[in-house]
Amino acid sequence: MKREEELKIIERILNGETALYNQLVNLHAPRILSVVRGVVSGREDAEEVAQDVFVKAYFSLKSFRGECSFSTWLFRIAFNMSVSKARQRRTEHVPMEKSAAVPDTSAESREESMDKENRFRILYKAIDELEPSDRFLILSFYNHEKSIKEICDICGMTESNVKVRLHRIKKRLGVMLGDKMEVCYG
Amino acid sequence: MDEMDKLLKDAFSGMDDSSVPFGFAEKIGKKIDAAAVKKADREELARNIMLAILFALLFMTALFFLNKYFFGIDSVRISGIISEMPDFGGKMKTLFGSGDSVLWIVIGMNVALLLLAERILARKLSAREKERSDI
Repeated sequence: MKREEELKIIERILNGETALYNQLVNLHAPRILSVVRGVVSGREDAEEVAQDVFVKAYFSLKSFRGECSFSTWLFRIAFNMSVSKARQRRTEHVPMEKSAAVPDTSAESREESMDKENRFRILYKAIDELEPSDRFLILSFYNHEKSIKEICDICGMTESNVKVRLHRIKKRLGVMLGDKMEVCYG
Repeated sequence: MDEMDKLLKDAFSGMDDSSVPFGFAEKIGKKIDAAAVKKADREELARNIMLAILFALLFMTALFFLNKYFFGIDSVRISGIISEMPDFGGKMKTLFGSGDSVLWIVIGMNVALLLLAERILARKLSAREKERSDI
């Protein structure tokens, strides 16, 4: 859906055609669910947070001025809600690797695929140890292909801040991956 | 894009779970309806509180003007009344402590005792009459 179309739908919703909100929910639910699941532990909790994101967005629709895309605006709400929920539930966090599927590696040799599988498992564990806001940041950047500028809008940080933070997360993950690989393989 | 970027991209694409559970949009609709009802209730309560405050202010203003222009009670008189307040206890003591007051208090207590005796007798008599009519 084009940005202009989205803005028109939002205008119609604000004018009383509230049933149209379902269209926006159906359009953005997969990405919001995906990013929230990456930050909040427990499938049910993540779905609850994702629902609350859409409810909050509905009641704040008047404040959406179209300066950024609706998706970025939704991501901003998802960032605030999922990070605060994850911080509440930090102690009972479910490791990511349990719900994570390893990419299809049928074309690769068995040895290579096993090595990749192990690396992914270790990487998931390392990602799991990150701060919730850092997890949201790398998920938005690598999985949802949000640009640095969009991430600035989502997290309320400056461009240089986002770049530095992404660099640090990457470096930290690299170190953690190296350490854990060393433990695994000696 | 370095090797780490590629690895992270691959890892995230592998763990991407964007499946939408059944009835997700309906649940959001229900939550929105419930929140709208709550919001309307909250707004009504706030409106009622505002109205109550407004009426209280109007009432106080009306009383102020009534006191000032009809009864002629201004701030000087009010401060006079307030300054006499500490004497209030003493005045009451002299009022109820005089010989005449004690006499009237005794008369009042006797009347109260007579009224009490009359009520007790009337109740007993009516109970006896009820017993007779039952037989």
